[in-house]
Amino acid sequence: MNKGLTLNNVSKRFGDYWALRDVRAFVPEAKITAFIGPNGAGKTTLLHVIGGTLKPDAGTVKLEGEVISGLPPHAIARLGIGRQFQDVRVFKGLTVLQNAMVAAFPISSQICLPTWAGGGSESAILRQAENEALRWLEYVGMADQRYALARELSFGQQKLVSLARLFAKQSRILLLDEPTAGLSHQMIEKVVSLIQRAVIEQGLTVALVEHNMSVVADLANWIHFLHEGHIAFSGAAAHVLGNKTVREIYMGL
Amino acid sequence: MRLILQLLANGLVNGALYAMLAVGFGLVWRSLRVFHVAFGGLFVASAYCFHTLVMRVGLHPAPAFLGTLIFAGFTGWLCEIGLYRPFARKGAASSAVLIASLGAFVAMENFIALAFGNKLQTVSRGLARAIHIGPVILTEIQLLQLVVGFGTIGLLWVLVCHLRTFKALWAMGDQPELIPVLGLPVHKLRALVLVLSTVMAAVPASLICLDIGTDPHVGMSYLLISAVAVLVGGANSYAGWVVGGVALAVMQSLAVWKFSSRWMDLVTFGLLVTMLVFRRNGLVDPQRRVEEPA
Repeated sequence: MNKGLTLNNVSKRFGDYWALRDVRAFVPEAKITAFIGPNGAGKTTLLHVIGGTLKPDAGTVKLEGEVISGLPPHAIARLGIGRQFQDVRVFKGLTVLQNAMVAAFPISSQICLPTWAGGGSESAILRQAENEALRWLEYVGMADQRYALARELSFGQQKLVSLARLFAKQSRILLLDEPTAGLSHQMIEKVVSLIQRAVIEQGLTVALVEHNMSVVADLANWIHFLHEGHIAFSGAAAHVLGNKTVREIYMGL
Repeated sequence: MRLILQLLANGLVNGALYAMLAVGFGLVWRSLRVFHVAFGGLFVASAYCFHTLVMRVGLHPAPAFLGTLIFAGFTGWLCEIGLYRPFARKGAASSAVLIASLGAFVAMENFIALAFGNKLQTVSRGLARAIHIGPVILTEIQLLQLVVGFGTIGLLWVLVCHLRTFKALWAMGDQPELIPVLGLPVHKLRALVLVLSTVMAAVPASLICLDIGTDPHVGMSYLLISAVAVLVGGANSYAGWVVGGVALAVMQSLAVWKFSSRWMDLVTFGLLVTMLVFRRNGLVDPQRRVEEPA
């Protein structure tokens, strides 16, 4: 059984336009796999399909051998697949701590009515979620800001909060859509280091979409190069980034 | 002085009712970001359910009240799955949802008028006993409204503070598309909001019907009261909704002292405009980081 995510001939069509065509790829466990390619190549669509936001028109997505394509997003999230969006998406009206707490709630009894009656257990769950949230906010260096409203944070800080939220949710697989886009040089280094640590220390699996090639070179163990909805080239980072066709299509070199 | 105290007491009684309405309306606004115009129709439907159970079925008001709450919960759930959920699934614009909600309100109002007629429907009861509390006189029903109103608000406040479900609901208002990504059941949460909201409308609907009766066209008036209370108090805060409802009721009551009760709408909208100009975020602004230790 393959440990990781397997994409089998995944296709997605919007009207007459094929955003993805027969995409076959493997995202191995505890490694970082990057999907690169020019704008419109289908990278974000691919993350949407894996995360369940979009259903593929053909093909399957498998997690450890089990088909997960077609499941609703919350069911896929419960299997341990976490998603970070390019435009960050934090709960802006909540504090930093509450943002991470919402992710740290135990999944099985989210709105289980019997727990409403047991005030004691509910407070214990809330306390536990708060401790867990705080732990991950410290991990990403945002614990000092825990009482700030998320909308008061800079874009980079919001990215850190969204990473803390993924960790607090105990996701096993992270789908990261341009995790360093729009960040300062220092913040890029911090985010890169956090992703590397997540793989080394927590054994997480990462699938990321990224345009910053130095970030891809630093992070990725394996790269899939997408062009016009299909995977044109796959291989180890140095191999793909050094490939003449990739450089011509993607970088114009 | 005695008159002012009496007017304040009347204002507080109405405040308890308005606060419940504001909480019902505010819950939908805060969690679903829907301007829930159908709330007015659901209010009238609940009032007519209570009236029917008491006057046609012959139930005592207490079991009729419980029956109305169950009916309200069901209609709220129906409103979500039949009206709002299809729009949410298609990612419809908020203006489309608003129009659909308005359409549902008008349909409910007309259906009720068709079924029950346009006349005022009252619940037969004896003359309400007057109770003296110091210099203030309240009727039994007013006292019931006061106790049930603030009791319900207090109970829900405890739940809001201590249940993670409400933290998820607040989060849903900020970023609904993130909720399923976190593994939370977005449709169940949405349905829960509509059920709670409609139950919060059914409590004052029953109490008002018991006191002064109801007619099919009161929905818009109570909808406006709910919306203004939420905007005046602070659209993002539970405490704000309650403060807004009570403040509005007290001001309306005091206006009777100097002007005719015909000018109550002027007070309502005057207060709204004043707040929007001078304090856009309402009386209670959660931006002040309420959790931060003093």
